Amino acid sequence: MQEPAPRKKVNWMMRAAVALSVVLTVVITLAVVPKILGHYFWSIEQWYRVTPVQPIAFPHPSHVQVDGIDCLFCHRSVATDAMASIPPVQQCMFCHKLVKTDSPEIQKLAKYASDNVPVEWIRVHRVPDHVHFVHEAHITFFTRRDNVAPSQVCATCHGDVGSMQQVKQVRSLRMGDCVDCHRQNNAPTDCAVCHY
Amino acid sequence: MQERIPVTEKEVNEDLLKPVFTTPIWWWVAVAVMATGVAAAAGAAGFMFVNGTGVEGINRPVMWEFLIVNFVFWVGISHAGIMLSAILRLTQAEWRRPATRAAEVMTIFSLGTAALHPMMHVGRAWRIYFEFPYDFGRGIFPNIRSPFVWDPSAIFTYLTSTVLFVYVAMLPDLAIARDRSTGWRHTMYYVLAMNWRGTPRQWHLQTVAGILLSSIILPIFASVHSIVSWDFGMAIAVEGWHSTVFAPYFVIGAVWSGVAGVITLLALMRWLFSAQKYIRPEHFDGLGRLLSVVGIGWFYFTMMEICFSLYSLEPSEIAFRHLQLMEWPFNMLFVLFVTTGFFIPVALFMKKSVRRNVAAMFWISIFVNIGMWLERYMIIIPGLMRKTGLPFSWGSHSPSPIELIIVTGSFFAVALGLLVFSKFFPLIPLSDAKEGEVLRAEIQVGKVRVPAIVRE
Amino acid sequence: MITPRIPHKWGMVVDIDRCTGCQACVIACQAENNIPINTEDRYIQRRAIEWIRIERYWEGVEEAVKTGDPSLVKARFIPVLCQHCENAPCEPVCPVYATYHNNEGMNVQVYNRCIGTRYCANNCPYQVRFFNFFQPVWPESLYNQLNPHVTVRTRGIMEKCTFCIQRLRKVERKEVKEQKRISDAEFDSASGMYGPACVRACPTDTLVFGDLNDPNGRVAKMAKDERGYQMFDRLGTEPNVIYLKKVDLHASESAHE
Repeated sequence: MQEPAPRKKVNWMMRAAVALSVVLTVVITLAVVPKILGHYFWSIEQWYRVTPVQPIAFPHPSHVQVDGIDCLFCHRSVATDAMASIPPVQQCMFCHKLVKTDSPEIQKLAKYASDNVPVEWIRVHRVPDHVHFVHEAHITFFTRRDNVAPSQVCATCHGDVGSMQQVKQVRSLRMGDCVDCHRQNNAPTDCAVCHY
Repeated sequence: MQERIPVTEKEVNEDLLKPVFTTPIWWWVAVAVMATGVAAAAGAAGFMFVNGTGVEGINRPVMWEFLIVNFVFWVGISHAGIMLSAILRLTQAEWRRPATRAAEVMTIFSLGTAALHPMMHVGRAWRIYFEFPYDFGRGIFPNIRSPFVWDPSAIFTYLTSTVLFVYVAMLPDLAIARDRSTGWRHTMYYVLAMNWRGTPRQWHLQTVAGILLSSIILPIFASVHSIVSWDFGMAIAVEGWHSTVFAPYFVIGAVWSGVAGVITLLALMRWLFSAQKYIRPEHFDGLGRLLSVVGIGWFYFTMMEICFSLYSLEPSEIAFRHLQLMEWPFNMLFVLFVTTGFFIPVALFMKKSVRRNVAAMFWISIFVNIGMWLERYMIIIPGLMRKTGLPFSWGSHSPSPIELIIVTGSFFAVALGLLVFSKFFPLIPLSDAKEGEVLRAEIQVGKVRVPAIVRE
Repeated sequence: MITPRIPHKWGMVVDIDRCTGCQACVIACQAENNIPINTEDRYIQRRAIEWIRIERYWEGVEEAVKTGDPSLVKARFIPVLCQHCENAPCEPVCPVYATYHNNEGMNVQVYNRCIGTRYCANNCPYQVRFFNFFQPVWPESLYNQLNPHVTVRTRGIMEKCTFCIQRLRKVERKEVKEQKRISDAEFDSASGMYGPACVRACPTDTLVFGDLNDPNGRVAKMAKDERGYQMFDRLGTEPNVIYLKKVDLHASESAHE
C-alpha cells in the first residue's frame, strides 16, 4: 500500500482538474447549445439576411402604394407557375417611355432597354436547389381559404413589399419555417412535396 | 502451476513500469513507421473525401467493399476485450490476468478504427450527423428500423463501457505510476489516479465496480457483432447475406479472431517488453485451449450457413454459392480461408507443445486473422456480385489503391494506438499480476493440480 | 373552399410483348431527369446511371448451337425501372429516412437527406438504385439544357426513378385547381401531356402509366390482365410496376410437341 501523498498537493491538483473539466463543459455547452436551439427558437438566420443594393433602385412603394399597381401586373406568372417572373425590361418601358424619363434611375433602365439586355436583379428570396417551391399551389390555397385576390396573399411570406424601399427577406424561409406553416394549415408534410 | 516464477511486488512494479518510463530506440522507429502508415491512410481518406467515394473500387452491384470488410474485421477483433475482461473474469479463469488490459486496450483502438470506416465510406461524410437524433423540431428522427442506426449505438456503448472498464481497472496502477514519476507525468497520473491511496474501502469499491461492469457489459458481448451481422442479415436482396444464423455466426467468429489478436499482441509484448516473467507459456496454453473450442464452433456455423443455402435450392442462392465456392478467384480464396482460418490453427492448437510455443502461437494467430479477414470478404463481396435473379446486372469487383492504403493504414492505426498507450500506461496490469501472485495455492482436481481460486 | 387532395396510387404496366428494345425510354429519362452523361468509361466501370434500363437476354442459344439453326436464338427485352414497391426493401434500411414510401404509392428518394450509405442499393433486388460516385459534370454548353424542375444531384447520394414526380406534381396542382380527378388519357403516350418521360417516349405503347386507384383507368384494368406478374414476387416486395408476360407462339408450339 502506498504512502498517502501530502494533503495540500491533493487539493491543488484535484481542484485544477475539476476546474478544467468545468470550464470545458461550459465552453462546449456555450458552443453547442445555441447552435441546436437556434434551429428551433432563435432566428439566427436573420443574421445572414441581406438587403442587397439592386442595379436599379426600384421603389416598390411608389408603384404599389402610390400608383396602386397590382402585384400580378408585373409578376405575371406567379399564380399560374412555379416561379414568380420578374418583368422584362420592355414591360417597364411600357410606362417609362413617357413617365419620369428625366430620373437618373429611369435613364439607367432606358439604357438596358436600348441595349436589349436584361437587368441583372439580385435575388432576395432564394431557396436551395433541392427545394421546389411552387408559387401557384400556395396562391391557389391561400386565395381559396381566405377568398381573396392573389395579390393579397403575397405578404404571407414576403412581408409588406409594397412599403419596402429596398426589398428584404422577412421570413427565414428555412425548412422549419416551411414545415411549421404546412402543419398549421394541414398541408402535406411529405418530404417529396418539396424535395424531388 | 509449476512454471510460475515467484516475483516480489517491487519487482512487479519495476518490470511492468519499465516500458512506461524508459523509451528504447525501437519504440521511436516503430512509432515513426506506424505514423507514416496512418498518415498515408489519412491522406487517402482525405483524397476520397475531396474527390468522392468513386475513388474506391465500388460499382453498381458491389456498393460496399474493402472498407466494410475491414470494419467488420475490426469490430470482430474488438470482441477480445469483452471476452477476456468480462467472461473470463466472471468465470474466474486465472490465465486471463496478463492479457486483460492488452485485450481491452486493443478493443478501444480497434473499435475506434472500425467506427471510422463506415464514416469514411458514406457518400457525404460531412452529413454523418444525420444519423444521430438531433433534429426534433422538424419531426425528423433517424430511422430506428435501420441497422445503421443500431450500429453506432452498439459501437459507442461498447466503446464507452470499455474505456470505463480499462480506467477502473487501471486506477491502482496509475497510483503506482504517480508515486514513481516526476514532472508533468506526475501531474497527469495524479489527476488520473483520482486520489487512489489503496485503502481497503477503495479496493473494495474498485473490485465491486469491476465485477458490476463486467456483468453489465455482458449483453454487449452478444449484441455488438450481432448488430453488425444484421447489417447484412437485414438485406433480403443479397443472397448469402440474409441468413438467420448470422448473429451467432458473427459473434463466434469475432471471438475467434479477437482472441487470436490477443495472442498476437501478447507474443509481441512478451518479446518487446521482455515480460517473460509475466506472460508465460501457460497463458498461451489457456488461450489456445479456449480458441480450439471457439474455432470448432465457428467452423460449425460456417458449414451450417453453406448447407442452409444449399438446401434451399433457390437459383439465385445457387448462383451465389457457385461463385463463392467454384469460380476463380473465390474458390482459391475459399480454400485459403478454410485452411488458414480453421484447419491449420485448430489442428495445431490440439498439440500441447504448440500451444506452449510462443513463436508458433504468434504465427498461428496471424493465420487465424488472415482467414477471418478473408471470411468477411467472402461473405460481403461475392454476395453483392451475384445479387439477384437479374444476371444482366451481375458485376465484378477490383479494389482501388486508395482503399488498399486505408485498409493497410487501419492496421498501422491500431498498432500506433497501442504503442502510444504503452508509453503512458502499463499494458500488463500490475495489480492483477500481484493478485495472481497471491492466489497461488493449488488444489487437486482429478489427476491435475489447478490453482485454487479465492475471490472476493 | 379547399378540396381534399385526391388519393392517388401511381402505377405502371410494362407490356413486355410490345417492347422492341429501342431504348427511347432510356434517352427520354436521361434528358428529363438531369442524369449525367454515361460515357463508355462509366459503363465499363459499371457506374452508369440509367433510371430505366433495357435488359437484354438471349434465349435458345444452346439449342441453336446444338441444331445449327440460328433462327432459334431469340432476343428478349425487359425494361427495368424502380418498381416503387409497396413493401420496399430499401426503405427500412435507410438510417436517415432519405427513402420512404409516400401516400401516393411512390418510393421517394430525398436527395438532401441522403448521406450515401448505399445500403438501399445493396438491398434493392431490382438494382435500380444509382449512386453518384463523383460530382456529375456536363459539357459547358449543356448546363442550360438541365431541367429546372428536377434537382441536379451532387456526389455521394443515391438516386432512382421518381415516376417523373415533377410532372405528377403538376397533375396534382391541376386537379386541385379544377377539383376533379385527371383522366388517364392525360398520361397516354399518344395523347397525354403529363405522363413520365419514358411513357411519353415509348413508340410501341409498352409502358403505360396511371392511377391504380382509378377503377376505370387503363392501368388498373391492364394490371388485372391474366399475363400480369410482378417481378420477384417471391420476395414479397409488392411492386407497383406490373409486367405483362411475352406472348411466345414458338414456346407454346414447342410445348405441344
